[in-house]
Amino acid sequence: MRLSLPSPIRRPAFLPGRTGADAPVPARTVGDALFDEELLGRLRRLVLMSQKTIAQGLAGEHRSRRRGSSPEFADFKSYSQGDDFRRIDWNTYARLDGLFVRLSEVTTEFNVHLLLDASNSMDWRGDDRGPTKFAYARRLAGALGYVSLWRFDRVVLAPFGAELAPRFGPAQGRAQAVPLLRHLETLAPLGQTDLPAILDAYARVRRRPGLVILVSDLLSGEPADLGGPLRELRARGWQATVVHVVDPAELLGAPMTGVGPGGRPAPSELIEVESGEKLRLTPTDPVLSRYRAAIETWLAELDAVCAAEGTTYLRLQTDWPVETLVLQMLHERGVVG
Amino acid sequence: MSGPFGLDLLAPLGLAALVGIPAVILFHMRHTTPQTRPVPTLRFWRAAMLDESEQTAFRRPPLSLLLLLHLLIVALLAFGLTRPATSGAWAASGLGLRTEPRHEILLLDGSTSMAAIDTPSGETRFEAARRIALDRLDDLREGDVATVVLMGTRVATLEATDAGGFVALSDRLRAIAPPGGRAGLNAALNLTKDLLLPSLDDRVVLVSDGALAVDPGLAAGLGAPVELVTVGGETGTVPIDGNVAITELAASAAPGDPARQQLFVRVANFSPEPVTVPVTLTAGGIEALREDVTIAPGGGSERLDWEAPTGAAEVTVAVAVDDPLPDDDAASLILRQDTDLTLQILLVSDAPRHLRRALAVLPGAEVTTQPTDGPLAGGDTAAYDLIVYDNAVPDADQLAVLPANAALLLVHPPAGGPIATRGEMVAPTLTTLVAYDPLLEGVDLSGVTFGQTPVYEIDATQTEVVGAEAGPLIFRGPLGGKDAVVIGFDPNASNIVQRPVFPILIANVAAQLAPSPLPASVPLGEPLVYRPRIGAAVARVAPPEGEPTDLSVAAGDPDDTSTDPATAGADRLRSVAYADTGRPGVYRVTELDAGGEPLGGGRFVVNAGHPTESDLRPNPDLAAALATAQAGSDAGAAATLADLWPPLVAAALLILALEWLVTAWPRRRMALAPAPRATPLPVRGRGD
Repeated sequence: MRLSLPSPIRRPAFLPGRTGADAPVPARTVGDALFDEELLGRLRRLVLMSQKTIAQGLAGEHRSRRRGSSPEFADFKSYSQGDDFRRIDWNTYARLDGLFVRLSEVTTEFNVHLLLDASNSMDWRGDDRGPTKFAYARRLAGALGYVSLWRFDRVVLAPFGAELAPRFGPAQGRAQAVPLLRHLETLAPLGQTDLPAILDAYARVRRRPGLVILVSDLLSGEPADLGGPLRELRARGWQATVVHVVDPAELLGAPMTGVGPGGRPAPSELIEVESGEKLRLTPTDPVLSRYRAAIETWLAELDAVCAAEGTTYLRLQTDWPVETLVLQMLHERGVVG
Repeated sequence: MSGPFGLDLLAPLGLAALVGIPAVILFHMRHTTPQTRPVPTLRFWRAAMLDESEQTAFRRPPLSLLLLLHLLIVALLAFGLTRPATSGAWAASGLGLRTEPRHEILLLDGSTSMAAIDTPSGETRFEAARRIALDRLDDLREGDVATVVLMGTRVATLEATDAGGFVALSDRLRAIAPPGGRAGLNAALNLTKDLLLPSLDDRVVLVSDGALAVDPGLAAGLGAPVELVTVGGETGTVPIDGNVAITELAASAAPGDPARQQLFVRVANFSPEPVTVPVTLTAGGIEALREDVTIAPGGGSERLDWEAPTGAAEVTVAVAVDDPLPDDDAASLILRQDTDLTLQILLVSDAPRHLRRALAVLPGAEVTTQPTDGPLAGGDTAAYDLIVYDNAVPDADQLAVLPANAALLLVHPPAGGPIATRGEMVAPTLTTLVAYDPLLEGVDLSGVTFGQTPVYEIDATQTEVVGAEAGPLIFRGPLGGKDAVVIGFDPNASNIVQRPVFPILIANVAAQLAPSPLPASVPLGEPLVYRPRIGAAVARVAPPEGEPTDLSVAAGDPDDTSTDPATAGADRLRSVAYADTGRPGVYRVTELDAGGEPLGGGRFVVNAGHPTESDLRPNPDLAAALATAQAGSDAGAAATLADLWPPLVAAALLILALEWLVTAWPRRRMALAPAPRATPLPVRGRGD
């Protein structure tokens, strides 16, 4: 199966395939290409959805609040001074003896901003057989970006660590899909991060709001700290979607620790990958219970904060397949249509 | 140091090992070196951690089962290091280890009765006793001393003082054959008394069938306790509950006809019931006589007087009975030896009547008589073991041609010969007598009259055995380089020839001078002692089964000037002794010269039957007599203590093993169990 790409673009490394005519197709393993043609085929049938209409931007494929001169009829309005005479519906004038201006719907483009958390905490996995959160997030960001570019949306990919890293875009058009994916593949973890500050800074410096999709493990800061930036985004007209990437081991806790003789919990020294801080503990059943309770509390707080700020919140586990389950969930949550 | 519960701490310093208890507690207070694991964040773990003590190097002592078990192990080991010893129930149960090294003296009965097959396992009594002895040796440990006294007619002693020695001693004991014969328990106890080691806990174990006699006084004064372990005596193993044996078989020439041999057979019944058994006489493989004999029980015996078949060289008497000791159901006798091992005697006499009769009764003797005026060639004399001159004396020329090792008996040598004289004693009376001299063994010269006797002058190399006022009557010493005994008086002029003492005296002289003939039979286990002929360098003895044994014959020293008649005689008489007569049957003896050429041969028979050894019934007084043997005062206290450290160490190791099982076994189960999976949490979004 080959991906049809415009010539002379070389087959990118993120696509599986042959490096030579007779080369066998390698088995899919961890660290393999981010996408295959089956996934791209699924993505091409999708379109990124917005929860509210956009009043700005150039012409595109998304409905807009702006009324203009397109052939698509939208509504009538009473004539007022300054309206274009050419848009007066004379048939209606004849029937109703009133001047009404015919309004048509203007379709606009989306500004899609993919904020990708590239902190060290994302570069972790609880099971060597599964992907890291960062790899999973890149794959997801790539999918969303591909959908946007395929629908001629304007896409900005902004990875961030402690600061915003060099971004990709704004890019538009299907020809930018491959550079986007190639850019994703070159990304590497960037150290620590401060998610609320990054969100706040990102929203302040952009005049044209759009759809911002944050892909992160949300381990930076408290859930309440996230409420301010999300509120700021909404106030500036942005539509925000938070995609929370979690590893299943994080939810259980036990796989993160050691097991001693007899299956009993062994003392472990946990090292936080971002800060290097250490903590010694023995993962006894009470400790694990408290850990899971803390996790559930945290997740509930995140859910509550996002709900309060009108932000779509979607939690994805790295053992869920992007091709099927995740795309279905994105569709159900109205992120894609 | 004596403690409660009858415990003695032999090494109290071992309590210092209790420092291991705080060490173990300290060890458990330490956090084990944890596995380092990267995690994306610590925030939730910090929230889950209530016990901050894990962040320190030490924690409070955890009251865990593991800690308690470790403390118990240390306590057990420390207690074991103190070497607690007790004389109580632990010692009786055998769980403890002896505190003192032991000297185990095993008196192993190897007598003929131990060949009886009446043990539950179907083995002989000796094999059962040997197994018991080997088990005792296996129980010994480093520091112990083992002595095995193998009792038979002769007593053999084997000793081991270390672990390697115990193994070697066991191997040797497994290979050793029972010596047979009568077990000299008294001799063995005397030997044991000398073997006791004051510094050790002496234990004497007698492994026997109990058919032994013991001197109660000797047992009481032994100085060590004697444990009696009996073997055999299992009833019902054979049809007859007891033993029937041929206890005596002898032969003598029939009166008036020396060519006929009269046999005396005694058959004994040691069973509790009277028995009627057939007794047969076999000669040359042919049954010559058969007679059914009824014998009274409890040691009763019947004597049979039979005449041996004419010309038979060997006869065998057997009783057909199935009893525990088959060895003594038959006995053999050599009636006629090979001619070349007979005692060849040349009697130079003109009146040989009395001397010839006395010499002829010597076993195996063949007497050749020659007048004093006849020729005496040197070549002829070489064939004789003893040359007797009666009222005659060889001159210097004759002495020169006699063989160098020729033995001479000069009876009343006339004056003027090689022995100087100084007058005569008309009627000498006995004044001096060397009582210990072998020549006078069993000889009573009281009342003996002596006729006219020259007064012989003896030199320093000669020894007066019997003397009168003026000179010797009997003396011994070299004459012309030859062994010689001189009877100075004339037997024909003395009343000695009418007395039984004369053939005894002549037999003693012959026994001292001439080679002794092979006996017709030897009791089981009794050593064969005889003198090979002159010129024999090796006596080769072939047992009924197995390889022959070469016995070197010590060469006589003609220049021996020892003044001790007993030792001088023994040195010069070239006796050989063969002790391995523990197997019944016919033994063949071959004498070889220095070049290995055979000079002749003979046979002797070892018969198992014995009035004492064939009686398999145990001595009822033996156990009581041995029970009087007590340990010395020093050994008593230590002997009853048992070291308790082995069960303590065993308990500690058992706890360790259980701990390993508890800790390691579930791990395997965990490894096989499937890993838990994360459950997807509910996803909520704005649309919910």
